[in-house]
Amino acid sequence: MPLQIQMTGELQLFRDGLPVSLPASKKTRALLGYLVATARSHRRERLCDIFWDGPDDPRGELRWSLSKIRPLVNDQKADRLVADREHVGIQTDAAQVDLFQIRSLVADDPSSTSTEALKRAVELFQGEFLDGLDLPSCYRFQEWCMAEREAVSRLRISVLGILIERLHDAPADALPYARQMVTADPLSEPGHASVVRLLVHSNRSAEALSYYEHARRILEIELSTKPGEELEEARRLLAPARRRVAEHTRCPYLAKSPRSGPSRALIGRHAERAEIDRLVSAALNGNTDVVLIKGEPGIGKSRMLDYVAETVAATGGVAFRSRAFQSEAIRPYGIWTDMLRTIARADATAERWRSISNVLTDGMSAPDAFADRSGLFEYVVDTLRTAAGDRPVAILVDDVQWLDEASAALLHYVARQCRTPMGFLLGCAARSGEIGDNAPVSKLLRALAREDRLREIRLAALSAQDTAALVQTVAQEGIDPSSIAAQSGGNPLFALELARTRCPGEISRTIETVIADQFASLTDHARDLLAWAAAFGRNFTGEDLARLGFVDPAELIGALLNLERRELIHPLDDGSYDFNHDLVRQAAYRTLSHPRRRLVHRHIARSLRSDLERDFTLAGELAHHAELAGDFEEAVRACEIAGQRALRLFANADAASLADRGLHHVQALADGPAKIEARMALLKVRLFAATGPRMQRLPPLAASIEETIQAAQRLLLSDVAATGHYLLSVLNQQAGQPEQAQKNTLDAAAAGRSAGLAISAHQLANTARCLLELETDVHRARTLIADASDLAASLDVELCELHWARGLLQRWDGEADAIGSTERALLLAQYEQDRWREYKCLTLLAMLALEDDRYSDVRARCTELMVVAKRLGDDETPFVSALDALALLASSAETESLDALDQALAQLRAVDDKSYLAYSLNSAARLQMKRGWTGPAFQNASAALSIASILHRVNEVTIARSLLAAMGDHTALGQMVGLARQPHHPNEISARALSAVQSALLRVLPSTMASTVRE
Amino acid sequence: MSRIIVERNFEPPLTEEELKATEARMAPCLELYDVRWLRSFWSGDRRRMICEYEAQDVASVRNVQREAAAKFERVWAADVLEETPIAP
Repeated sequence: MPLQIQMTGELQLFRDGLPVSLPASKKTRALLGYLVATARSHRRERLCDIFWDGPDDPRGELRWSLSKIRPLVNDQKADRLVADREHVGIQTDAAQVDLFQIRSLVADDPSSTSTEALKRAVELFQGEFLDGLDLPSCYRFQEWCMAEREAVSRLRISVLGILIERLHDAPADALPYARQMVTADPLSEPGHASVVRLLVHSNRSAEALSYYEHARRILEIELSTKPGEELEEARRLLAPARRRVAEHTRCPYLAKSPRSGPSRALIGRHAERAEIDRLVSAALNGNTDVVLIKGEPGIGKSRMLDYVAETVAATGGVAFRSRAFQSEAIRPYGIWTDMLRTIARADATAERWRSISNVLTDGMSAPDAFADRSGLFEYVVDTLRTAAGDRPVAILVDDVQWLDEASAALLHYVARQCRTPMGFLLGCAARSGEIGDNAPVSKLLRALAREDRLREIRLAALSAQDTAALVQTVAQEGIDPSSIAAQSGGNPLFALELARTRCPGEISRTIETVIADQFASLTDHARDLLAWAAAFGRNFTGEDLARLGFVDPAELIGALLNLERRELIHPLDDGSYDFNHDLVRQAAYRTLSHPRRRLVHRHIARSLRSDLERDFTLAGELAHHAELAGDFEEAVRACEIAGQRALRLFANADAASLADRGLHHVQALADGPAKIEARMALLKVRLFAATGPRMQRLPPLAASIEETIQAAQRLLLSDVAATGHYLLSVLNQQAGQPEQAQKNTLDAAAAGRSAGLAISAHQLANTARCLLELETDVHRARTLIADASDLAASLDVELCELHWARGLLQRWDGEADAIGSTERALLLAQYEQDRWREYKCLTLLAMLALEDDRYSDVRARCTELMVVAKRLGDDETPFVSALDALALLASSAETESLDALDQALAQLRAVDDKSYLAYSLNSAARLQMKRGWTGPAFQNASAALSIASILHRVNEVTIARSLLAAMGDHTALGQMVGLARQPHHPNEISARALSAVQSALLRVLPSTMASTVRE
Repeated sequence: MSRIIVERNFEPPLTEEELKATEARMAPCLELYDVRWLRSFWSGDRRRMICEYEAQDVASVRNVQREAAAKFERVWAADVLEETPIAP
């Protein structure tokens, strides 16, 4: 049997049908997944960028990971891992990869795939793509993984949708697929409606109603919407009588009875306890060692840290605790902030605690200015000493494999510098397989080992006897402790979960599946709440959940109590809750489908954003959730704020990482000033993060900064351009090029000056454009345009306003260049994301097309224009409708086109836009006259004359009179003859109006007379 | 000339500095578009404002708002209802 690789659900490999044990390092597993999924060769450098983007030895890390992957994928039949000095890839030809099998079955178009093939594809889907292999600290991998996950999820939903449709006549067969569909996409209302319909058609009405209630609740909580027509229609298939019965028989809690409170007994571990006793005793005698408790997840590391705390407390001492979370890399000093806040809350009178908490919160309110990072660290150590007073103290940190660089550095400092009169001990716990994934933590532990300060306690499996004794503490009727002990392999968490789920018979189950099985007995509400809480990625409060939509206090408290009683979560001293184990959090998170995860993270990001102004520590978390929600605009902003905060706290490596993430996401933003401003701000953070004493290697930022300066100059963002020049001067100063740095400083000053000139050019062009639009003082507009053009040329900048003004002037003069100038103005408006100017330039282009009788161009412009006009508001759409109706008038039947025109003109009157109304009426009259519809043409020209006269619009007045003259109005004819006989300057009347006069005269006067008048 | 009303909402509330900056941007546009500002009503919490103008049409006032990048929700022409003085 070939090697089997499962990419949907959790990554798994099977050799001869048996599961292969994967490396404990998550990064290594992620690398394996990436190489298999991409199925091509990658440059080593690129892989290092994706997985080990840091100052250490990325190529060495890659070599180490590949050495773990090689024996997994290679065998006697094939060397699948192909790696040379430059490239690495995995050849999957001789392996069965579920994802490739699915894609091959479904081909390009699921709708043309046979039903049998679709069913087979559905069987192969085991869950979300590479489920659980998220690496929040490797944003490039994370983004790729999210995109793939979304694509796989879409494919699965599409296949399920087609199957449900095809099996419509066999509801019992279709139902499992409909259920899978709502699991994959719980926000799919058609999916929920299918389940309800299929249950009804299977004569399971009570279940259908119960399901309808469940779906309604999901839509209400997560989308804040009521059920739509499709779901309501499915519900109407139910008989009312059956519905009432179902409402009464629905049971909120399934059969399971709540179990007793959490066990605090520590079973076994005698040797480890003796070692801890010895270390605590040594600490009391002044030996400040660091204890590291290592082991696999669930082996009891946190419980051993409890034991350290208990032992220290027994000596009259105090233990301060904190734990790292997986998303910690974007929360500089996360563990310290949490720890100090908890202490500050517990001792509200201690001014110093509040002060230090504030220092770590924003770095701004330090009582004394810190010259550098060691000043800040010393302040923390000093504060810890004060808090310890005359007591022995232990600092205990759980899950250090997820520490951020700044926290790790501070931990090292505390380990080296913290001496208290009565003894000090530092205790950490870590997952042994994942320490290698975190370079700063690996470095810290290596340094402590070199200093001979590190005392490692490796937790092995509990003996069968101890495991059985542990199970006895929660044993219920029908449980065989020895069987559970054998099945759990001596992992205490696994053993306890098996005992609690009461079904120890299945030997193939993993700890994760046993935990997930517990969720089945929860109510829908409690299960939802658990999943949302898991998405926070850290401890959470009732208020956090309430802000996400769990608003009923009684229901919320009930669900939290239920989860607490089942030992899935537990309350912390600060009033928040945490999951009983990170594996529970992971399992709960995995119950969320990919689309739902995005939605949950979006809700959390929204909630964090509203708190950001009062607590900048949230910026990192906001960036994390915004990234997972696919909201890159929010992520960029949050990375910038979090990066600036990290700089203030001397967390330069974290600041650099945040800036890199932000710079990566900024590429996804739409072009415009906001993008350029964000990019420069992030480049600033990135550069300053690299100029600290520890970061001597300067990143190659010059090209990016120069490019951003040029973009800023194009948009007159003078401050941004000046910042760019300043950054270049810093960069050159650091690189030992003072002369170049001095030039950059001068450029920064010049940028400020030229910005002033560019603003002047813009103002000149703006006045000219207004004068032309209002048809007043065209002479002055000409002069202003010439001045603005000279200024813009000297500064080498392009201005939307100037191109637009030129377009209007060229239209006045009857020049064809008007189109090119206006198109250029349109492009610049779009680039600057200036919606109103975009609307006005598009409008002008549509008018130019109408005046040239290019009706299909008018209609195409109108389609584009309507989208932009709607964004501005309803008041800007009537003129678009009028232009479209005018183009229609020129080419279609009378009734149809007149109706459309009447409607559009009525709308223009309603929004009271006299200028565009006069133009539209004149245009309508001209087109109607061409088609021989003189009745309405005369009426419209008369109306145009009246309105244009109110506005003193010379050209529209002239055009209206010309049209009336052409249709036999003697007064108007006399005025036109008079006008034609007078000499006039091109600034007095536009080429379009003059052309109208000449057309009228040619139409009504004998040709000889007309030419005499013209001469 | 018509009486034109502009409704504005501000979240966060508008500051005096922002108001002055908008007024400065608007002044030259008012003249060009032949619009006359009559008066404004600004709520105590600085979140709402009603402005009253005189102009040939609603579009002129709306264009002035756009030119000056002033924030607004609606612009509409109004009939003025006032207490009729009692004849002596």
